[in-house]
Amino acid sequence: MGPDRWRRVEELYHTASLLETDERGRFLRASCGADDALRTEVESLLAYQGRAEAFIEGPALDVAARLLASEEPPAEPSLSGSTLASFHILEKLGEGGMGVVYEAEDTRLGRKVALKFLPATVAGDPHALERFRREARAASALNHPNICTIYSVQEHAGRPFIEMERLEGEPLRERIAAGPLEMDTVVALAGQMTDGLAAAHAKGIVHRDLKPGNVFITARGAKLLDFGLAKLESAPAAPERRRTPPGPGPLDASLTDPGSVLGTAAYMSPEQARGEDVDWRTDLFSLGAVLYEMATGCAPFGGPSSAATRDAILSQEPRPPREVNPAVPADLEAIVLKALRKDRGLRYQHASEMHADLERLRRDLDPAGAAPVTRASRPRWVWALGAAAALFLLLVARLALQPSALSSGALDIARMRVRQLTHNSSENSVGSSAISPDGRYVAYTDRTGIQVRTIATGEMRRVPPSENPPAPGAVWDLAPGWFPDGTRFVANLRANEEATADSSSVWVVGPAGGPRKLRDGAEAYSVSPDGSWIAFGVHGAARGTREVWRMGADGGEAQELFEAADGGSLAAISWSPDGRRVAYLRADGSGRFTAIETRDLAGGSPAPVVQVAEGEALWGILWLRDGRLLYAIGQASADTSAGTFNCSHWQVRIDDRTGRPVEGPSRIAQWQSQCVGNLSVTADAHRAVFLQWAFQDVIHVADLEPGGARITVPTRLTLSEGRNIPSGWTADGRAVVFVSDGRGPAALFRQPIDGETPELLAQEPGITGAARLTPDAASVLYVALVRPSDPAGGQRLMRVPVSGGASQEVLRGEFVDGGARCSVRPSDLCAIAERRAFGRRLVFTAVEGPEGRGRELARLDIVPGGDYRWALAPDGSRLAVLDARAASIRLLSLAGEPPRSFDVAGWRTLGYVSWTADGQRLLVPSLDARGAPLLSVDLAGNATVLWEQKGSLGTSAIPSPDGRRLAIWTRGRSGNLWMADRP
Amino acid sequence: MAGPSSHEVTALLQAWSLGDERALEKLMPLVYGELHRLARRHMAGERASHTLQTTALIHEVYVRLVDVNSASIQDRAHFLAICARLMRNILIDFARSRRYQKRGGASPHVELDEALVVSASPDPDLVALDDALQRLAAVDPRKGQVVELRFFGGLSVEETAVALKVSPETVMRDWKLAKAWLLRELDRTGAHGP
Repeated sequence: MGPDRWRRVEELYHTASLLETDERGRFLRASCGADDALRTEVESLLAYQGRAEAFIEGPALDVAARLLASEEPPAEPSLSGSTLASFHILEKLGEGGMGVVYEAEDTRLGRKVALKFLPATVAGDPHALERFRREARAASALNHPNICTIYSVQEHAGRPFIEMERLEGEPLRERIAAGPLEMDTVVALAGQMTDGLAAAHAKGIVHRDLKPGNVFITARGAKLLDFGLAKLESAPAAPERRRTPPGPGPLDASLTDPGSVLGTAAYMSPEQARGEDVDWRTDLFSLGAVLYEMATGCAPFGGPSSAATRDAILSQEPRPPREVNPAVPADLEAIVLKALRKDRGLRYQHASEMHADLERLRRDLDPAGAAPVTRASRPRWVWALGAAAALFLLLVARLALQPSALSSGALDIARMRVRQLTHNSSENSVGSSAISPDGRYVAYTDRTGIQVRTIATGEMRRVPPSENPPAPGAVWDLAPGWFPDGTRFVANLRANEEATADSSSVWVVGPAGGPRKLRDGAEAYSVSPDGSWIAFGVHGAARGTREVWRMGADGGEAQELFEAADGGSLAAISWSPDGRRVAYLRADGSGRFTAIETRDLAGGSPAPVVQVAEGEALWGILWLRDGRLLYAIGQASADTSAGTFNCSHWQVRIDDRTGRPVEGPSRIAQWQSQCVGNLSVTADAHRAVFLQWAFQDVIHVADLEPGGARITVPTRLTLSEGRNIPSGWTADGRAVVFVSDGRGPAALFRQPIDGETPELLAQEPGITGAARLTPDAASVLYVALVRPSDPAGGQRLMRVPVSGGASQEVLRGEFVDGGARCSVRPSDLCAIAERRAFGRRLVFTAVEGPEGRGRELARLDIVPGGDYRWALAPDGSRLAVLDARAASIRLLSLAGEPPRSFDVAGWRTLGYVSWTADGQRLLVPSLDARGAPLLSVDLAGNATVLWEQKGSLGTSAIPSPDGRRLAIWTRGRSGNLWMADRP
Repeated sequence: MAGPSSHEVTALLQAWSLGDERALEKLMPLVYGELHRLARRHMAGERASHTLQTTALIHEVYVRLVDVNSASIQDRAHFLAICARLMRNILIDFARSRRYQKRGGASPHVELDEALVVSASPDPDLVALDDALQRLAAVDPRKGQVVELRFFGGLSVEETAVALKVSPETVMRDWKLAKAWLLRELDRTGAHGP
């Protein structure tokens, strides 16, 4: 075809393509005349017009990538960073035949858990799925210190998963790989494993796949994993048969295809190898094989193939362990060989039998081991790091009041059910709470006063105000709790959040009517176990009181018990079980609670219990009836900009005669960025309530009046819960771009200032609130951690287009005050700040060029360890650097003018800093316990309050490019009431 | 990014555009890296066509290779054209190697069976498409360039227009006709999607 003819085809094609289909034929016939070949050519091209629409619209790279992807085996999509139900998935912990295990955080409870997802092959098989559900539910009834606890069985998108205890330690498999274990360790771990098995067998649950990979060694002993899940790996080929279990509950004991357990051939029992029914004695055989390997370093049966291994299991006697490792005690050899008998009738018949033999051996090995066998051999308590553990511990401790409950049955409490009782916003946070001893009521406070809620019905009773209603700003505190009879509770009324005992009063609230005042100028701490005394403090200090007193239940018979020495103060008086001693927190002169002591009320010097380090503070002690003392330690977290802290709960057992600890404290719960508070428990130990706090970051928009010293009433822009932190404005100033995790994992959104719905711009795993729009408003520079779980591991400055697309690393470093700051068009500058010269210098660097790290813009000598905040002027001409502690601001010119400093008159403790759009004023919040007013400060240091929101913990603002509006971020904290009880 | 720095990549691209084939060997791992990264996304169930704009996708790759934005507009267009050529080269080599691996020695029946299971809008067979594109370029060189820039280079209509010094409307018309022509050509030669 010649070029002219081709040009003609082209013309006709384009003209015809604009016509309706039925007109094209007429048009082409008219245009082509007798040239049928021309007409056919154009028509045939037109025939492809529809299909051509979508053809090669995606780039070739993507086509090639799909080609490549289609060849790879289908990998499980990683769930890391995603959110399922209330779980935020952190990292993959492992992967195996039984699926993938992720570490996750239960955001409701703030606890770390492990989530196990079934492999897709199992999830896709309805029979296997049904068995999985059944087995997992049965296994979730197991609650034993040597069994990994299953909290729940859930499903996501048709894919079932198990929520279970997050264990810290290593699989036995890895320990064995390093060679034989010490004999006393073998025996101790074996005792724990048999104990766990005995508990499972008693519930009719057989493990079926006991092997070193399914045993976890934690700091507190052995944990058995994956009960009853083994047979899921087998296909449901044969009809299931039933056997009578050795305990209550149905035992579904089929194992269909022996070939399906090839992977664990070395530990399978002869009956498994023959494909016969299995029962609890199969587990004892497998345990014998595991013990053999722990003691000798090699498996009892082996062969070059799994078929050979199976042969050995069926027909060969294992080599006696003492021949392999002479260190193995003769008694241990006997136990292992008895477990490994091929005829199950000749093996141990019950795990408890084997456990007894192991315990006898353990005592023989440990001449000092005079302690009662069952108590010493078992890890003392569930030690998992999580909310349920703390509650669990409380419940167990309360049960332990009854001597009979000290048996292993006391530990066999069904899984806790935890639910949220209130859903208050940060403006009406729940302040304190106490559950009645009978568990029927929970009393709590919020801004509207005291409520008593009937738990069963949800019915609320508002406690009517007293005859002399409290002054505005007064707050109730219910921490002293209920009387043992469950009819009344004690409350403190403080003049305000910060008030000391001097301006507080003690009240009692009964079943009807309003609160009745017992005493002025006092703060109640707790009611004695017999209900006859109320411990209280007078002579208030920064924290707590200088003197401790007691009074009768009606407020009479007041007498001083003791007082703080050396200008310190005391708080949180908690009675010993017999009411003869008290424990309390002791604060140093600065008001930080640094020690726990106990004291005999009959006299004598205080007995030290706990002392914490610099940077830590104690609070919330609770002396349980069995002699255990619970307390919490808080630490400022690495993420100081978020105003958060870490908190852990500890227990220490107290000797009631000496008031001193019997042993070292042990940690029972670790919380990230929060703590539970106001923990209270019912008398029957079935219920507990506590408070949990959540941060809420909200963006408001307000018009800034000319002059920059006043704004209109801000209107709320973001409506979602969670964190919403502004990054900047679109170039037209009509929409705010912000980071939000209110609708799932943190992502970048844009929302018009007159709209209600945010539009998702980019989903960025690891995106933080420290994100800023570039001057052209086309990209966002944000900070992500180099290692997501390690705040100290360095930061990455990332760039992501606001129109979506993958993010790109710009540079790495450790950035001062969040991340980058950018100027606004027509200026074109983004900068970061970093500490240099061992923290004595702040260096500002332009983000530019191919390497990301461009020229140095400015430097400033600083105090090491100081808290510095900074902002880049919209025109890119200068920097404002705030020394938050000194409340002084330094202006650094980028145009060579000399720097100058000024103080913000009349304000202390300043937070973030930003510029107004005209570069003539600074926006700075003042942060203190009462709130966080947003200040507008001129460049001479004169401040006016722009806005103050009740209950705010922090605020900052970003002006729109035209300077007419502010996107104002505020952080609030909502406290809400949660309850845990038995399902 | 591991490997050569942005400066080096730019130099390599220039060397390659001037005929230095050794430069291609050094550039190939970079493109393969992107390819595998993208493939992993597909395996993770992400549909690139849903989550990313196609041009943004490629530009992301270029930005990883070199700082496109630092070049002047005309330089940039020229540079993008080199990138498109590079992509075509490497991707077609890749597709050819895969076709060989996948189908090496197999009977045509396999291909027929595969053709039966392709979806309504299959991915084109890159090797067959490349052959067809060569034939299109023989008939109409500019349309060949438009396809190379748009499909292999991932350029937008506007960028293609700048690179070819024509109007965006012309690019759009060329693009539409070229796609119909190529699709017909692929049908005629019996080439189906993989």
